[in-house]
Amino acid sequence: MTEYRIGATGPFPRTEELVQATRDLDRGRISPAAAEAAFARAEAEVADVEERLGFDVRTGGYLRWADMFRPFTETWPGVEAGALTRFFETNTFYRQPVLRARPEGGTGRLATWLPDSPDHLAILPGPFTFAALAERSYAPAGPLTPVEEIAAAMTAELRSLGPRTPRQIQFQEPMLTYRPPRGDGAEIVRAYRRLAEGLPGATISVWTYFGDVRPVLPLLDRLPVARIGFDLFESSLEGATALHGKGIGAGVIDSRSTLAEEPREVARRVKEAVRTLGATEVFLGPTPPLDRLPFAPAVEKLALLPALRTEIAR
Amino acid sequence: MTLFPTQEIGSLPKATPETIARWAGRIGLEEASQAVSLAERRSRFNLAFLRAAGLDRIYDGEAHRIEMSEHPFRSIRGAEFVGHARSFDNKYFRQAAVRAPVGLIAPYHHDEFRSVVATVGPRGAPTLKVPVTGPYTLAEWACNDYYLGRQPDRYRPGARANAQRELVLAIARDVVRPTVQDLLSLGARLVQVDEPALGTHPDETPLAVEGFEAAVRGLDAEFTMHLCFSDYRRLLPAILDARSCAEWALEFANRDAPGHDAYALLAELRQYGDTRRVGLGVVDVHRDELESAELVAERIQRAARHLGDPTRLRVNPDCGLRTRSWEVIWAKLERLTQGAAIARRAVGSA
Repeated sequence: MTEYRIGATGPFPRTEELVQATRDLDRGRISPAAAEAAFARAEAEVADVEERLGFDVRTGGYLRWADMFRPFTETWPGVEAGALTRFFETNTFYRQPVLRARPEGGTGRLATWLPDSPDHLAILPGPFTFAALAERSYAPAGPLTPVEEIAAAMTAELRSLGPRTPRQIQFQEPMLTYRPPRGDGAEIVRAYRRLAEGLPGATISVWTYFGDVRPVLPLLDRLPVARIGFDLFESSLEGATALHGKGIGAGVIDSRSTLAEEPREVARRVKEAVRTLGATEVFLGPTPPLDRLPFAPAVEKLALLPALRTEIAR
Repeated sequence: MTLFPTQEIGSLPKATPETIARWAGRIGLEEASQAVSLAERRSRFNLAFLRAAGLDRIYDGEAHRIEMSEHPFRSIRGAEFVGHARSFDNKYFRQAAVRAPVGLIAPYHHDEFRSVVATVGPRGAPTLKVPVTGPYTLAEWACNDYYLGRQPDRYRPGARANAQRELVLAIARDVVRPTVQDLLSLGARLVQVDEPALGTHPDETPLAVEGFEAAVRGLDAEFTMHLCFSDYRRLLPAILDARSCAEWALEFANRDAPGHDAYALLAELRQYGDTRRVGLGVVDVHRDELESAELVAERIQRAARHLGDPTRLRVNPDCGLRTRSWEVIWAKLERLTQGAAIARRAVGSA
């Protein structure tokens, strides 16, 4: 019996009130305290949406993250926020992480960026994507590849959170499908093995988007993770073989349009993916992350998830 | 002909009346009467500001516009706004969704251009460089609901690409082209087509080129294409098929650093045998840190070496400076013009 779960798979868009508040803050029209109150109200609204829609996993919305790397460029020694750079296919930008020295986690400061509850989903940049998008200005001196260095730093950082170490972690790896690695990806497998071994109490998943998952499925299947997420609309699973004991994350809410999804057609595709990949656990969510859309249409689209789950389970 | 002419390239912040008053004396601006709208005062202020900074080719910093996507979409039939999406940090744009066939309600730069010409005088019109958002960017930054929804099976492979092509070409043909034609009828002769979204799908470069050509081919003006924050190598060589483009206006300073020569890309243009002009980004628009005039000069000379022809370079900021303070903008433009002068002397004496 396949188990279907639903939830967000990335940051939420900011509410219109928060948009205005942060603009006003930048223009000196409101105080930091007033902006903080707006953040708190927006986070409460996200929590309400996740509760109301019956999401199996809560995220808190990640409304304070300027981009997926900013908490690390602001807290890890030797890691700086560099040039403003376009983020893949989106109209959003991120500050490119600039690694002046080998990244060292373990600061414990990620706690201020993550949801308070360790049961909420921690959505973090995957080591391959982090390493690929970062600029490195030091000469590697140790035995680890850049991907493994990031994984080591991330493991140390998450372990340093002590009792707040998240129990569910989703690593965002758009680069894996956008520009698949050359070679056999052994360093990526080693990086995830390091994460899995260093975080034995956590359920780890990998979420890909911005490309077809098919070419990297064999590599993803070798990762010691519980679930592999992918964009159902961009992926062709023809010729794919069953995964080895992994769940799948099916990106079924298209954040590139405000059109409502067609439940029957989506259900047909999900069932086909489940059959092909032999998954016994399926997580349904948006793809790519919904923060490309404004808050209201994003929530309208998320609200389709419960109906999609019902249609698929029928 | 002067080497390394300087030019602005995009939007400026929306100046407050206090800002205008504070700078007016310094930039030689005769303050407008209170009867003039704030947008009009900003436009005149920006023109005076850019002129005082010493730039050769200017426009009005898009003072009459809200944002490069939102402003056109206000005049595009078939689209509606669905809320704000985040661009970066606390910067946002109003997200448009296309829900019916697109068409032009009215040329959306008409009043603006007439206003700018009124400020600079009719003889100044042909020297104005008017920025126009390109069809690919307008399509890419909108939710393409209508054209996607009418695909026979919108989930099949290729359906999204088909929908995107239909929207790009419809915008090019029915929105951007008539807007550009209107500008030309008013005396514009330099049009910068902004395509910042072109880097998002390098595989769609041929489509972006097709849209560009559909919008401007055969029209009597000089067209440039502005790209920014892209890995330009991934656009080559397909982008070179934009035959109606006379100049590539590119961001470089943002990614130029010791050990990473961003301007080396120009050597690739040279290898492809491309002989068009290049609008060279020499100051980073996303950082307050000031480039020295010497660094600007060094970048220009380095770019000239890569390109193999200094006469094909124009010098500009990477992109619009709207996120910086007026003090930082002034200082950056000052260093830009000083750097161009240093480079001119250096190349002239070589």
